[in-house]
Amino acid sequence: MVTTATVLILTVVTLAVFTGLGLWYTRGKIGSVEDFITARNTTGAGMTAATLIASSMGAWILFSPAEAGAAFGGIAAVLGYGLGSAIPMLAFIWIGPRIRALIPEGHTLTEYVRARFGAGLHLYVLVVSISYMFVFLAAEMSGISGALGLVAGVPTWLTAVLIGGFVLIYTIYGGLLASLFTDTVQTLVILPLVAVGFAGAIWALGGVGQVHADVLATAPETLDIGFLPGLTFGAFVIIAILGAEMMNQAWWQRIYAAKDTATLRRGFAMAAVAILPMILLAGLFGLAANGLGLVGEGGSASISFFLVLQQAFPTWVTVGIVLLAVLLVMSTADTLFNAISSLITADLPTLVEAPDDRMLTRAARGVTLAVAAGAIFIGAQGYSVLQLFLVADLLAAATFLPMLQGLWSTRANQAGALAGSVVGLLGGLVFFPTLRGAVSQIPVLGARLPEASFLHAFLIAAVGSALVAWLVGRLSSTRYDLDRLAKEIGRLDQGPPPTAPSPDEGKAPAGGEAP
Amino acid sequence: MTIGATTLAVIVWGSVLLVALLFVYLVALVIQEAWDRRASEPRG
Repeated sequence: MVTTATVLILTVVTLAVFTGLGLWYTRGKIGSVEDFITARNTTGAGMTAATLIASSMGAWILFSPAEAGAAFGGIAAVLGYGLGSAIPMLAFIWIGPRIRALIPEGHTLTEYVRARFGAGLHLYVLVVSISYMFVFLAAEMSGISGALGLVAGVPTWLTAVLIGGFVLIYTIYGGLLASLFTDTVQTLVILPLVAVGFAGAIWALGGVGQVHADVLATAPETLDIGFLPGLTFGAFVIIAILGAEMMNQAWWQRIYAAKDTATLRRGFAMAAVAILPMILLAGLFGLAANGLGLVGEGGSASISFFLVLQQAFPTWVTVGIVLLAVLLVMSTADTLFNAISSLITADLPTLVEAPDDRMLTRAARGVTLAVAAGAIFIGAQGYSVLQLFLVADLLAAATFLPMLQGLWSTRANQAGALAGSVVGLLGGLVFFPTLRGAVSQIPVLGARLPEASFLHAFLIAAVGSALVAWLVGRLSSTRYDLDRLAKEIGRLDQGPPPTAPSPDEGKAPAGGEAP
Repeated sequence: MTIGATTLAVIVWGSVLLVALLFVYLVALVIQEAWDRRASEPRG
């Protein structure tokens, strides 16, 4: 076992270096709240791709894909996980330019929802988005605290305080710009670590041929690309991740941070191309763990990655993995601190009369502090948030299609989106395995529940919500003029936008769908 | 359909190669962007 002192020193040095970089890069560059939460038109394709890779690849890639490979369906499940993680990036290649064209001076997904649909859906989406992002953040903090505890006996509270505290220092000072820059450097360290680490592990285990022979001897079904449990898991994960990532404010911020539309497209495409192989490689560790007989009695699928590393490498390599894990968590945590802060800050002008730029910047920093404090607290407790994660994913799956429909359809409206989300959520809950106990208590329905299935739950949540929202929109005679979005959503540092009627007032003349 | 050792090797080494190539490309892009940004900043 690596000593606690060695791991602590390495962790603090890593944290201090990136904190210093974040502070150095943003010195004198944060002039307004716009710089703090949007950093509009600042990143080229390389920086856009790098920040997307770093932000989406948290410490979870060391646990979840390998667990999927070991316990949830082998290679088919891993492929589903990889595709599910890459597809949202590909979707934003198409959705991102639309957002920029309709709302050129926007900041957050919730201000779009407020202007496009109204206060009811706005509040709902705000709760869903913040819940998802905070649970993600809590899972990262709990994961790294648990990992450092496991590897070197570092107390969970100390890991949470160190990582949360250092990340807070540069995000509270430099906002999104600090996150974008540190993410870029972190990606340039993470990518070679991943490539060399995975290649080295396969080589140390005797090569791909040996790993294949081991897996074929112990768990041949995990090499079956048509293995039904794997395909089912892969399909459910694709819907769950797509829904959740559409509600992730971090990506909406990066849509605006990209220099222009072409840069945005290139950045998101490169991120998708990078994410897929990284998940595949991480997931294959689960198959290897099965092949080596490490999962099962005395082993645990969720730590397959570490079990294989222990088998393949000497103990000192653990130090490199600690460095990788700390970088993965830092880059995700700074992104989520700023994303949650931006959601609340962009809403303040609707709650406070004519806030000035200075007040909004202070508020953004205050919210960043509050989010960090919450994340440190949860991380220090070492709670497992897997159940909450799945519930947040289901909420997002039942919301994202009605929400995105409003970017193209002039017929989409708040009643339809809310009705769709509620119907999708209820339909999903009927099949949702982890809330089975609560739902089965409902009289009459409880006795007639269909077989539990994550795939059915997420499929019904997504498709059901979209169908109901679309149907209500078709039945309505009113239209929304999409050009209003650009007029109603403006910069935060130039005073309040002109008073706008509610989305259901001032209807545009009836006409066809937007192009 | 069970994948063979060759297919697994293509997946593993293809993924490693893709990550490595992307790293090189990203480094080049980020350096170029930093250079361009520096050149466009007002002097003095």
